[in-house]
Amino acid sequence: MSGSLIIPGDSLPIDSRDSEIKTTIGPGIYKNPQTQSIIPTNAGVINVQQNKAKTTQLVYVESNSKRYIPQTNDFVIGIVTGVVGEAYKVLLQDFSTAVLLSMMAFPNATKKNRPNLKIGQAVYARVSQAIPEIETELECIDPTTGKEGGFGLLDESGYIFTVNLNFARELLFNPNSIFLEKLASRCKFEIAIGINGKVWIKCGEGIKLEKETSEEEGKTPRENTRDLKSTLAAARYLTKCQKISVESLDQVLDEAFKNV
Amino acid sequence: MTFQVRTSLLENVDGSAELQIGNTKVITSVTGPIEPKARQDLPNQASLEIVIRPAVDLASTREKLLEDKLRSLLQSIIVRYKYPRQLIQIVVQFLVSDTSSEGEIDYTSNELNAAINCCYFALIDAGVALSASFASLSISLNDGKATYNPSLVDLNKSDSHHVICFNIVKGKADKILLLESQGDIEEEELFTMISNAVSECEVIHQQQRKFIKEKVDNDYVWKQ
Amino acid sequence: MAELKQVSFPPEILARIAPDISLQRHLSIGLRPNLRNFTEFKPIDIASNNELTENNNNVFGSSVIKSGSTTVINTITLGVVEVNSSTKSATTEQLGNAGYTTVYPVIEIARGRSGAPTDEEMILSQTLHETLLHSRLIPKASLSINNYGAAVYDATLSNYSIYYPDLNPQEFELINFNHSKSYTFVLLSHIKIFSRQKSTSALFDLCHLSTVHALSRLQLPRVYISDTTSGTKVSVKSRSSNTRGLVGLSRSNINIDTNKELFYPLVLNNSEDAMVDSSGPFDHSGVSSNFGVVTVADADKEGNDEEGKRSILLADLEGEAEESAILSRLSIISNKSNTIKKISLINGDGNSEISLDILKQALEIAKLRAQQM
Repeated sequence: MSGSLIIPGDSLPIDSRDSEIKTTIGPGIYKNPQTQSIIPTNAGVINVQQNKAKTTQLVYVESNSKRYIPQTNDFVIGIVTGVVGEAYKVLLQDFSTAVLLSMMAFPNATKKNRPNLKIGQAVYARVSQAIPEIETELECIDPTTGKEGGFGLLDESGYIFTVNLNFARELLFNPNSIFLEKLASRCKFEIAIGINGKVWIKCGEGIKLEKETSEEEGKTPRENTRDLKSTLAAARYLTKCQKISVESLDQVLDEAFKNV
Repeated sequence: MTFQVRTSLLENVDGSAELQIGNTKVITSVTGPIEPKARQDLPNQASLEIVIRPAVDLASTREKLLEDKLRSLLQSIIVRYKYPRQLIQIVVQFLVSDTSSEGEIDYTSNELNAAINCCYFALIDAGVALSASFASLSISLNDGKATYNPSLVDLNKSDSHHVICFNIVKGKADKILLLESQGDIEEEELFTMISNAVSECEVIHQQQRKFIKEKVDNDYVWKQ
Repeated sequence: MAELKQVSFPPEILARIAPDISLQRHLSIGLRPNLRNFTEFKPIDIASNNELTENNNNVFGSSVIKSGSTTVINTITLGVVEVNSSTKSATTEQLGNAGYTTVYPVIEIARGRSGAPTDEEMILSQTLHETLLHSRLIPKASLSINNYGAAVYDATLSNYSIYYPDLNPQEFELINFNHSKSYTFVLLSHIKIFSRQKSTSALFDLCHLSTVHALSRLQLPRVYISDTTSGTKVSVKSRSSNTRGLVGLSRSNINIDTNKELFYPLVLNNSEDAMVDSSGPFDHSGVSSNFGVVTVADADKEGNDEEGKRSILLADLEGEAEESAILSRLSIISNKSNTIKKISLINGDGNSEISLDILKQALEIAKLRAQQM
């Protein structure tokens, strides 16, 4: 990977005393509130981006980790684990502090018309407030339109699996990422990517209980088994993608879809 | 001075490292920041839970003392104010360590040294914010002659033994974070040893950097 | 709009809610919360009487020391264990560091309730255990038991008499004495700390001092072997046999002779004679001193970021403010011949660094203190 390595204790490749340039710090950089000095705190690849007028710059360390720390405007997948007052408790990762999803944070929700989520269900949501000292809050409304905007309950015929945080960012933020493009050549799928390392995927009709399939008209059980197999294969493929270089991508895709 | 290290080898924790240095082999896991128990909750910074398990037998006061030393070191190096009301859990499990047989006495310096160096890699792997890098060295002095990473036999013959850990800033050993010395030490001898340890720790740091480079490359192996 | 008002606290309340600020305020005007000078140690009183040892048959060495209101009571009792006879023949020189042994301390800090030992108690005990081991104070040879006596039943007097090979050679020759196992004493130190006011590292100083003092006054008893069960019985853990500590095979019992006239002093390393003389117990073992380093902004130079700051070395940490606000700590044991026995340095506070200069300064103070002790 390009870019230079930085580890804690190194100095940043920027002149922090230069007051001409306004510096914005991102992940992996810490500003000591007492001395006002800026230091890197994680080992990874340093990124410095300046705007054209050279008046502002952005500094961050790109690194891999598994533990997610909520930031405002992150898109996440969480599991409902309980109800406290007028809010759901949602777990973004095992053992992490649970975050709150207010029952009012759904489109068209009122005191009378509450969303009906059950414990164990998964939601796709946006982090609306993330201050480390107080409880983090989520919402299921698109803030620009006030509508659903893809947020809300993730249906149970999909499959949720975990990936490393750096790979989740790649899938969500890189529009030229080839992993999903390759996958699309094999099957039709719906996907929700949480920046907290959780990915929900559903191929075709996804995973259905046997009873439901028999009730459905026009679809043979055989077709549904195919959807189930493709969903699992897609998950297997994306998990493996984290550990291989791009050259062997096709081979991994073939292996994952061998039995489908 | 060489060590072998592997990271990310445990699936269900956030960061892990396995380190072999001399006759000591240790595996460390880091989980965090996670939700603390009510009694561990600190309002403005992360609390640390450190558990050390010996290679054989159950943990005793011997491990409690090691935990205390490791905690006082790590609490200064982890940027704890970045994770208020959170817990960082570190488990150090020794796999192989020198065990004293009849006619020898027990030393904990090699274990402390291995635990510190292993924690560095595990914390880096977990992505926990560190204010600087650090590297530690185990030394025994015999007639003023220093042996780095001494074996148990060396320790049993030594006049004094030391564990020294430096804070590494900009590739240079900046200040002493921890010094544990025991035995008969002359002041002059001590300061010579410290100044020699500086360059030795910088060599360790070069190896750390090389390893982290490989690790980061490996993390982004899928990147075009 | 709510009006923001400045809140002020009386000093004693500030000291509880913000110990670091309270400490900074004190230091910036040149004072410590406990009113001592920066490098002044709290005086320590060592009790000169030996009542605990004299009044208790199972206490063989003891020490009572006081520093301020903190009182440390240390009693040393003995255990007897069997040793592998093969290692016994080697001299202290041949064994190197393995020729020395240590005490097994149990430290208890009185805090108004009982329960499992706290982490602090365990850490203090273990530190003391390791420090005494590595400072090579107690040679194994000093604790190994020689000249076992034999108890013989005297029918005319209808009591037992005990004969020792070195004291009663003529009588001893007549006894059919057959004893092959070798045993050694184990030192068990029980330290109780009352009304603790000092920080953990200062408590270690007191524990170390009291243990060395108690060791210097330790009187080891004679040991005899009898076939009957009279006398003080000591259960002996047998390492070589798998009898689970039962000493029933030879049907002979190891007994401790409580006759105080036959007690002999423990020989510590580097001392020609036993150190019964209270002037010299710390010659070799050294005296432990603890320090803390804290950075303060000078009151008169306020606003000047870097230059207004200086690091202050504080000796003998005491009180809540110093305990919680000072994380850069240093503990040194130095002896009379200026040899450093132990350094334990931790730079726990990124802003208050213990530099080499400060380390040197602390070493000087520690050495001076060892000389004067």
